[in-house]
Amino acid sequence: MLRLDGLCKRFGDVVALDECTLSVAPGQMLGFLGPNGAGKTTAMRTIFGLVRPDAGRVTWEDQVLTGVTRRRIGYMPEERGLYPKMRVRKQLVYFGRLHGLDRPDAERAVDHWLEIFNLTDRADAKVIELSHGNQQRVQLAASLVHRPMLLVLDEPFAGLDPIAAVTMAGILRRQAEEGVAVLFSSHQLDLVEDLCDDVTIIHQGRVILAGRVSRLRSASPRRYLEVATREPVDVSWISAMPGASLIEQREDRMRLLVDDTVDLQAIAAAAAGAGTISAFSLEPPSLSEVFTEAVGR
Amino acid sequence: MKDRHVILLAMGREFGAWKKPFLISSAIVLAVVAIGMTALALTGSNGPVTFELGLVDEPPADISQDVESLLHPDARLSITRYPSLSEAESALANREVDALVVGDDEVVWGASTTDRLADAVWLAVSNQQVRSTAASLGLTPDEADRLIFPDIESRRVESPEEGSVADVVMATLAVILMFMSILAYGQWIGYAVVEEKANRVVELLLGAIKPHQLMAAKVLSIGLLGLTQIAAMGGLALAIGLATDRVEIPPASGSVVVWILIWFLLGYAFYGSLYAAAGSLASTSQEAGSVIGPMSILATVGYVFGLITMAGGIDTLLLRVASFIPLWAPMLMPARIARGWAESWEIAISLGVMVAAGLAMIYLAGRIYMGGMARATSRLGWREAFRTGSDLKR
Repeated sequence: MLRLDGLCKRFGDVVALDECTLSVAPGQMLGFLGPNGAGKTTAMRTIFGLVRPDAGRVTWEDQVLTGVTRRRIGYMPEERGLYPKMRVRKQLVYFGRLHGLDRPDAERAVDHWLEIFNLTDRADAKVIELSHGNQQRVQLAASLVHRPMLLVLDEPFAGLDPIAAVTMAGILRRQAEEGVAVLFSSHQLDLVEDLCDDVTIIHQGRVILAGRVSRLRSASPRRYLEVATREPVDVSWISAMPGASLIEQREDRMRLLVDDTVDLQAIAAAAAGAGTISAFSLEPPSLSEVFTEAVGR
Repeated sequence: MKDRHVILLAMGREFGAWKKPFLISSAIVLAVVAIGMTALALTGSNGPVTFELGLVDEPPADISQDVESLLHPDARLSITRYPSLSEAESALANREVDALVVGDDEVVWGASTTDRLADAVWLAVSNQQVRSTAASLGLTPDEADRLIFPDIESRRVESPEEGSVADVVMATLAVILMFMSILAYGQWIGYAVVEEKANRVVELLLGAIKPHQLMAAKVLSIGLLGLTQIAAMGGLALAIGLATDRVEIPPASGSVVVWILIWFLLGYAFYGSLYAAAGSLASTSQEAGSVIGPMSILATVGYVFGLITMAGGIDTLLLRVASFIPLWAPMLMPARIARGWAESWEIAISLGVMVAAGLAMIYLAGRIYMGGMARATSRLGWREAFRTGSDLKR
């Protein structure tokens, strides 16, 4: 298990990490969330010794990370980087060997991942000649080629089109199913909600929420009422409903924030009076809403 | 994986990355060397020099043999006799002859008279006069020759202080090679480091390879490429030179070659580390020039100093002091050694200072490089990079 234990880091007056603690077990996929500048990248770079914490420690299976352990981690940094003029296959074999594979093993692994990413016919192309999406695939392949025990991915979905994002999500899910511990940061919270059972939310260097996504959602005191009608309707009646406020309306669909004093029957009756109801559901906040509530935006 | 395996692996990648620029630049410099040496062989003359001497008014009968014996063994003498002085002077003015001997007591120089010829002709005529005077005084030709060539014993109790011509040539070559290697291959190192930072691949690399391994791989691989290129250049120049009789292998330069090699290795380790550290401070290729350029200026100062040493032939105090400073010692000390100016204690101290400075530079550069590479997205100052590197090393 990877454990970041009470990490603290200051850059001058800026607090980058403040008692940051989290853990990822083999087979677990942990979404590491936070607004820009929250400290996610600093925490991830600490794992690789690229930032030395002022306090706290990083361990794998209760042992402080060493160079040998780090070679068994797959890393996708926030700042993507490959050798632009090096050929894809050669480059991936090089990274595999740097992480301890011998040449035949590395070549086998590279051929496997090129096939998975549908890049076999571009194996001899230079990275710079690839499309942005394909470069992203090669970047992920570089973090996977040495069969890591832990994946640390900083914004792996950034810049991907929806289809590529789904493909990458599938690959990460399979890695977790095979027992790899996966830690990744992302601003695409809908995708995180689909992909992860667990998340850790960090704000101003401090972990403010952590746990199962379902538990975090249900633990919120807020509920959202989704009402759909067969045709667009007048919504002025909502202002007369105690404990309810309109937060979004799109043609025939409205979303209300309600508290526990709200009279759902009265709202249903008023909505039915305005038009024909086609859907009516009370839900806990989405992960995105939990996140927004937590960081106060 | 052991340290050396990781370094060898990274060196392999560097060789691959630099293969094309290495081959192109090697082809260019080898072509320049081949063309230059061939042009020198075709335009230069290695044959004996022929001097034209004009004779007027019954000069001594054996004057031509005397002049020839006083010239260099390679020199040839061609004699033309003129019936009148005016014709002879006209020929001298037209450069048909290089000098005139008129009778037994007059010599005439023209525009084409070299010092070498003038000395030989004047001495030959002078000797003839001594012989003539000696004969009139009743001396035999042998006694006259003893007046001209008195029997003086000469011997040497110590070796000459100056280095041999071959050693001076070797030292000049050393200064030029050191400068070329530092400037060209040091810059390659600097730009290779900047490139890895600029394209952000370093972040990915540092998950698997330690900064000092990455730096060592760059310095060693580019150094080896540089040495190969220099050896190829030297080998080609030597081969063409030998084939065209333009080069003689220096007879007694073994120790100078060893010194040059030692200083080359020390200098390259020092400057290679310095360039790597400088490169790690930049975060984009646009910034590369501003951090790498000043290193080249430092090397150029040593180069100019070195060439002045060779040309001026004076071991000034400034030069002696500069040859102890690690920035310039690799260029200046071997030059002073070759000229025979450096005392043993000076060589020992300078060598000690250079080794210590080289080790210190590798240590400092390692820290700076580590700090610079860990902060891939920002331009750093030397101190900040060193602090960051030291912090990570703790």
